[in-house]
Amino acid sequence: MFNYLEYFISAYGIVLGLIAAWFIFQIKAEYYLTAASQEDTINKEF
Amino acid sequence: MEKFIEKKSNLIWAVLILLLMGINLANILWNTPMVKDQHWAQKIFYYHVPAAWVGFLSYFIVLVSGVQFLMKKDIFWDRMGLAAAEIGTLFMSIVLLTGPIWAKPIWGTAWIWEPRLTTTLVLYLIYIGYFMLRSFGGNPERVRRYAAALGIIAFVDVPIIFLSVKFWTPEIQSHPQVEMSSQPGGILFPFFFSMATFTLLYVLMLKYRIHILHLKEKRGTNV
Repeated sequence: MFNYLEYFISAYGIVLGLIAAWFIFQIKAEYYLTAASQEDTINKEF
Repeated sequence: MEKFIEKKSNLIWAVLILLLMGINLANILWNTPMVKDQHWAQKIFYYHVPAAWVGFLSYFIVLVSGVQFLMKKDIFWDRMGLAAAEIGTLFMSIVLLTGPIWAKPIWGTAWIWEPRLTTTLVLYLIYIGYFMLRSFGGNPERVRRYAAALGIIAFVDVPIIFLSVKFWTPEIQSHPQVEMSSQPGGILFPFFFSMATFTLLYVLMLKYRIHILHLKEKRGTNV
C-alpha cells in the first residue's frame, strides 16, 4: 500500500516524464529534419 | 533553417521555463499547507488542475484555428490546429493519469463513472478519433477540412465538462467542487503560480511544435 507522499511523487513523475519525453521526441525530429535539409544542400552544391 | 533553440528569444524562454518549473516544485513541496485528511495527495492538484487548464486552452486554440482555416484556407492555421491538438491531448493524458492517482487514496478507487470524469474521457476519445482522421483520412486537403470541422465540434464538450458538476444531480457527483475564492492565500498563490508556469510552458511547446511541423512540410516527411 502506497502512502500519500508516494502517490504525490508518482503523479509528479508522470507529469515530468511525459513532458520530458515530448521534448526528447521533438529534439530528435528536429535533428533529423535539419540534418536531412543540410544533406540536400550538400547534394545540390555537388 | 536554424534550430528552434538557436534563436535567442526561444533559448531565454526555455531557460525561464526551467527556472519557473523548479520554483513551482519548491513552492508545492514547501510553501503550501498540508490539508487535513488528504495530506500529500492534495498537492497533486497543484499540477492536475493547471494541466487541465492548459489542455482546455489548447483545445480552444484548435477551435479558433479550425474556424480560421475554414475561412482563410491558410495552411498556417492547419499547422497551428494540429500542434494544439497534439499538445492538448498530452496535457489531457496528464489529467487522466494524475486524477486517478489522487482518487485512489482519497476515494478508495481510481475511477468512478461520474459526470466530470466521464465527459473528460469522452473529450479525450474524440481527440483520439481526430488523430485517426489525420493519419488515415486520405486526401490531405480533405483531411485538413475535416480535421478543422472536428476540432470545432469537439470543443462543444469543454463547456459540458465545466458545467457537468452543476448540470447533473448532486447524488451522482463525486468530483470536488472547490470555490477558489474561498481558499487561503497559502493555497491560492502557489496555485496561480503553477497555472502561470504551465501556461508559459504550453506557449513554448506550441511554438516548438509549429516549428517542427513547418520543417516537416518543407521536407515532405513524416518524422
